[in-house]
Amino acid sequence: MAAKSYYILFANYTHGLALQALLKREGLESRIAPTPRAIQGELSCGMSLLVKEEHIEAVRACIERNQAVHHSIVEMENQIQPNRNRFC
Amino acid sequence: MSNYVEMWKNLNMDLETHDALCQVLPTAFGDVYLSQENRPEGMGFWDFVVSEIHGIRPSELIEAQKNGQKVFGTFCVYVPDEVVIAANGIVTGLCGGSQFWVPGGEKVLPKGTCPLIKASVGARLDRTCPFFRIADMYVGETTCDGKKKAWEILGQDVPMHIMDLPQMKRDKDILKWADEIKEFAAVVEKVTGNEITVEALNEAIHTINEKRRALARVYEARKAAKLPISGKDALLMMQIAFFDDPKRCAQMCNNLADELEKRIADGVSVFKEGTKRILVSGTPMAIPNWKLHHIIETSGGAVVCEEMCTGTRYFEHEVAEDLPTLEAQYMALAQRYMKNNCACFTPNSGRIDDILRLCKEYNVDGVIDVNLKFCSTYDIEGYTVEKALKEAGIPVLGIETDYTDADAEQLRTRVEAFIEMLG
Amino acid sequence: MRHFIGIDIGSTCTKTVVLDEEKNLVKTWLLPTGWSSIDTAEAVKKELDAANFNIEKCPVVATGYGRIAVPYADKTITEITCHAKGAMYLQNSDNLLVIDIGGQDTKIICVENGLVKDFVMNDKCSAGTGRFLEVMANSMAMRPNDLCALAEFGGGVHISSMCTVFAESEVVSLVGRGEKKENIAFAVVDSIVKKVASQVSRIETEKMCTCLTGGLCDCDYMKKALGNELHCEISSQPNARFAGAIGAALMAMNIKGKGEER
Repeated sequence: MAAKSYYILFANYTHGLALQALLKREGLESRIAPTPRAIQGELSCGMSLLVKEEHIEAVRACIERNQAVHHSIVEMENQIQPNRNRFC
Repeated sequence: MSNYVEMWKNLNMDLETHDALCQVLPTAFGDVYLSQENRPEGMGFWDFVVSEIHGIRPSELIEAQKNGQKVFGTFCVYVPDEVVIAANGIVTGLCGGSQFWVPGGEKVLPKGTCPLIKASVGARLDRTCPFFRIADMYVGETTCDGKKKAWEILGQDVPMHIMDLPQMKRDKDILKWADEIKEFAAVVEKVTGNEITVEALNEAIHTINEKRRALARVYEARKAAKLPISGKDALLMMQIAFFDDPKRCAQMCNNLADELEKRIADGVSVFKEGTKRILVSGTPMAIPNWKLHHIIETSGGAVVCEEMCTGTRYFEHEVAEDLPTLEAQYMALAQRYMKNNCACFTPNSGRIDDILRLCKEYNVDGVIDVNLKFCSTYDIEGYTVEKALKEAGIPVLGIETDYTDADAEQLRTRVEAFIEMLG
Repeated sequence: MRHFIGIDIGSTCTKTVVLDEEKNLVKTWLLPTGWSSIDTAEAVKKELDAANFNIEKCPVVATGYGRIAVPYADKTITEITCHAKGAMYLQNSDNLLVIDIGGQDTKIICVENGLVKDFVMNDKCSAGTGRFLEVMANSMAMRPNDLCALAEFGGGVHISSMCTVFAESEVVSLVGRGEKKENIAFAVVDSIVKKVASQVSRIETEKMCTCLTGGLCDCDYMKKALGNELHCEISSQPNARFAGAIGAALMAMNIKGKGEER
C-alpha cells in the first residue's frame, strides 16, 4: 500500500511559518511544500506543511496542545514520484 | 493566501490560464525537490519562496511601488543591478523557464526561437506572470538575434530600454559598455526621479558584491569531497537570487553557507560515496527549469557546479568599491560585467578557460554541455567546448533540449550511459 | 552451473539471452515488444520458465528503452554500455567502433581498451534509424529486409528530406512517378547511410574495427553501403542483433550473491 502523506493548509503563510517554527521547537519534522492544486479549495497557490505518516499523530497532538492556527489537515496518497518525468 | 487572487486580478492577469500553472508546479516541485532526503534545513526558505512564487515577492514589489519605488524587469546577467539600486529602484527577474508559457510566445514568434525567449514573450502577452505585470520598465540587451527581435514585439506592449552590448572584448568595447551603463543610469534616474550619486552607487556596488560573495560561499561548499548540498538545491537558490531583494538574498545564502560549512566539517553528504561529479555548462536555466539537474541527480550523478548565467557567471568577479567619481564607477562596472563570458562574444576563449578552471576547482568527473534548442551561439560554441575538454582528458556529453517532457526518457538514457562511461 | 540472463527491451524487438559461467551463449529468444514493455517482460519470464531458467536464482540485467519495465531485473544498465560489452564479446576485441541501428535510435559507440570512451545518439528525430527504414518499406508495401536487399540493384535516386514524415511523402511521390522500386530502395538505404555516417563523423576515432549491431546487421547491403561511405570494412557477427542482451548478461555476471552455490 502506498504511504500516506499529510498536508497542513493555512489561510496565510504567517500561520504556516509559525506552525513550522513551533513544530521545529518540539523536534517534529515537517517540510514546506507548495499546496497540491487538488486540495487548495478556496485557497490559492501557496505553502502548506508536508508531514509524513509516521509523524502525523505527534503533529496533531502538538497542534491540539498549542491551539495552533491552521486551516485544515488533508490526507493524500503519497504525491511524490521522482521518476514521473513530468516537469513544468 | 486568497489575497493573492485579488492582487492577480488587480494586475489584470489571466487567472484561468494562470491556474494551470498552479496545478503543475506543486507536482513538479514535489517530484524534483521534496523527493530528496536529508536536505540542508536552510533550503526551507527557498521551498517557501517557491510555494508562494507568484504571491509573496510580487506583493512586496507592489508595496514598494506604493511607496514610490520603481521596478525594473531584466533578462540578462549583463545588466548592472547596481545602477537601479543606486536610484532606489528594484530589479527583478522575469518569468521564462517553463513550457507553460511557450505556446503563448509561439503565437507571435517563429517556432524555431529559443524556449527562453518564447516563454518570456508568452508570459507577458498571455498575462500569466505577475513580475511582467508589475515591472515599470523592462531592460533588454543585444545578446542574441532572437532577443533583439523579440524586444521589438515586447516593446509594442510595454516601455523598454535596450542596452547595446558589444560582442567583442577589445578596450574600446569595454569603454562602449561603460558608456551604455552611463546612458542606462540616466534612464533610471528619469524613471525613478532619483539622482544617482557617487555615495549611493558605491553602496549599491557594495550590496551586490555582498550578494555575490554569499552566492560564492555556497558554491565554495560544493567543492567539498562530501557534497553537503545537491545541485538541484543550489540551482534553486541561484534561480531565486534573480528575483529576491539583494540584501535578503545575501543573508539567506550566508545562512545556508554556514550550515553547509558545518556539514562539511561533520562529513554530512547528500550523495552516497562514488557519485559522479558533474559540471553543467551552457545556456541558462530559468526557474522552474529543473529538468536536466533532476535527470542527472536521479541517474547516479551529482551536479557540483553550473557554468551558466544561472550559475558562476552571475557571481564571479566583483566590482571595485570606493571609487571617487561616477565615471570611474561606471568604468568599474563595465570592467566587471565584460568579464562575463557569454557565447554571444567572439572570440570567447575566456569561457573555455572558465570551464577548464571550474573542472579543476570542483574536481569534476565529467561535463554535460547543455544547449537550449535554437540557441545557435551556444550550440556552435559546443564544438569548441567539447574539443577543449576532450583534449584536456575530461569526458563531455553534449545535450540539446527544451522545456518539454517529451525527451526526458531519451535524456535519461544518455545521461545514465554517460555516467556509466565515467566508471 | 550458474546462468546469467540479459534482456534487451528495444522499441520493436525484445532480445533475451542466457550465458553460462564460461560465457557460452546457451540460449537466445527474439520477441516483438508490442505495446507494453511490462507485458513483454512478463512474456520473457514465461519463456525463461519454460526453458527452466529460474529468474529467482539467475542474475538478471535489463537494458534497452524498456529496461525499467522489467520488475524482476536485479539491475538496469543503459543500452550504450551493454551494446559495447556485447560487441566486444562478439568481435573478440577491446577496440571497436560500434554502430547500432536500432528501432527508434541509432547509437555510435567508441570503445577503447575495453571501455566506452564516447558515444553519440540521434535525438528525437528518427532519421537514420530502423524506424525510418520501416516506414519507407511500409509505404512501398515491402518488408524492411527485402527493401535493403533490393537497394543493391538500384541507384541514381536520392531522398532529400531527413525528416521521416517528409521523406515518406517523397517516397510516395517517387512511387507515383513510376520510379523503379530498386532505385527508391537505394535512395532509402542511402539516406540512412548518410545520416549514420554524419553521426560517426561527430566522434573522433583512430582507425579501428567498425562493427554493426542491432536489427539491420543481417542486411549485407547495409554493411556494404555503410562501409563504402565510411571507407572501411564493416564487420558483423551472426548474433549481432543480440549484442545488447549479451552485454546485459555479461554485466549480470558482476552481480554478487544471487544464484551462487551455498
